[in-house]
Amino acid sequence: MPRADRTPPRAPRPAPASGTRAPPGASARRLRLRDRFAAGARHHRETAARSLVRLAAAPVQSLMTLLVIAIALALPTALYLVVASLQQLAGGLDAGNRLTLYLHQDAAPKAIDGLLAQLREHAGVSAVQFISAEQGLAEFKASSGFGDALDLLDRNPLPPVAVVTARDQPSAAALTALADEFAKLPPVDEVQIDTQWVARVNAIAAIGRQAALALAAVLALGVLLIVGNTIRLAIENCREEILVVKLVGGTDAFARRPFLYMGFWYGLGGGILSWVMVAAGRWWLHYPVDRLAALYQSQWSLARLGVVELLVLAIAAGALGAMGARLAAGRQMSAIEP
Amino acid sequence: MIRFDQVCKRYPGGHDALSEVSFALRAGELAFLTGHSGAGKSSLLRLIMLLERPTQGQILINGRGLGRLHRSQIPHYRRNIGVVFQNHHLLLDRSIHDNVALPLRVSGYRASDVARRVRAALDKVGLLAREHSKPLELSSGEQQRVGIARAVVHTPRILLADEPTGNLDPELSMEIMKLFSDFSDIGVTVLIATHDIGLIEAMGRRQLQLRNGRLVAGSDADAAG
Repeated sequence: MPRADRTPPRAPRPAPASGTRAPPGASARRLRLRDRFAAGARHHRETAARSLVRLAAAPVQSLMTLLVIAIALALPTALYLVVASLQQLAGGLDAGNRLTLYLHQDAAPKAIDGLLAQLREHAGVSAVQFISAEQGLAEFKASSGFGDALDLLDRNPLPPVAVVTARDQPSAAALTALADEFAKLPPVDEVQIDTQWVARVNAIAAIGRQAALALAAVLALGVLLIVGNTIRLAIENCREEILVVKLVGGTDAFARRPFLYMGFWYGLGGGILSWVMVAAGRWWLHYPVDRLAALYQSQWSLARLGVVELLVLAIAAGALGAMGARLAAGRQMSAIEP
Repeated sequence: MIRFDQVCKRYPGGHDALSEVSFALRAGELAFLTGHSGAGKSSLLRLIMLLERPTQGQILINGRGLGRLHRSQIPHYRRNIGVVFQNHHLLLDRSIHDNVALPLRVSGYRASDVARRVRAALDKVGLLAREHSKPLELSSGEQQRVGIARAVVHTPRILLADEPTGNLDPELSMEIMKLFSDFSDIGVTVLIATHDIGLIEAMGRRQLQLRNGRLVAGSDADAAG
């Protein structure tokens, strides 16, 4: 700077800019590879920062676009959360290895003792819990509120029950075989397997998962188009800049780069915002859901959106945004020629 | 350095902007391109910049035919040319420094080189003090000088100027011409399209005169080029 300052504006024979005599233009080609790389990295940083500043310069418009992207991404994310919760529900309860044995009401206590002993020794059984008819009635009275009405009954209508927990987690077929085996034992009236509803929940979760995937695909396309359209307008507004860049020897890639970053920022911002939206929705819902679960004596709760989900959302959305921008910029950039 | 060989440019619709134009400029030569508006001055400059391709004939720059240049090579080719535009073509949302730095940025210069060269170029046009201003804070003449700084900041081999003194008073015009002349002294080939007869006469340099797309004067002065 001080050197430049001392040079009079109209020196008799000033060298142009570089101060080297010859050959003009050669210095550009003499740039070393490492310098080029460093300059490239710096250019990327500057371009990324400038794109961000440009988005901030039109906050309302940028926010609108971000919101649209966030909503589009929040829908499949929310569905994913519901599916994950359902799977937790189906997997969290080990109802899948439990059999309920309803015994004959008139079964002799001795026969019942024999049965329980036999069950406990069975290789496929890990635990047996016996609920006598009296216990059952007492529990029912306590929990149902029909206490007085039940007193009117002249005899206990409930059968004694043995709840058998199978060892490990048998397959549905193995559990059914076990149930068939126990059903043949004399004091046993009926065996109920608790797997059916688990299978149903799993089936529903599978549908939900497929639906979430399809929805994600459709809405990803939507995000691609939203970003593409926004970038198309941005490029149109920067026509002059692109022209000048091309006039001074900038490549298409150079002229395109700020817009790719703009698309990336839109995607990234939309992804993070959608995470916030879904996390807020989960927070809003989780109290009533927990209350409902508590009524069923369950520890089950809504699945959480964690840091991993945030990263996946942000990166995937950022990539989507950059892709949308690339698609939009591709044609348009070559159309803008000086 | 610049050689036109029977170059014709016909625009769609049949208008002949240039017909059978042949001339050659040596490296370090300074020449004026004159003629009425519509005579083909801008078309000729656009052909050198490869903004357009000739319909017929050949253009050789530094011995290399432009016809062979692939579209993807054009940006790299343009980095050897500095252009001063009549309407400045400055980016209004960027500082003077950033505007002048643009040709260096697209070529991937180091940050320290960029700063040094930009300041040197701005110093040369007497605008170093306005480095951080925005173009609209400058007068039209100052904007023109920023355009000149941007055209020379990367020390191009060829300097093209389209009416570079259109918005300047005579004294400033003379200064700018002196600057162009200095560049030609160190080997830059300079071609200036202008109406300014007084200036051309004062400079006493070669004149390529176009009339209705034909070169009517100055063509054979240096045909061997």
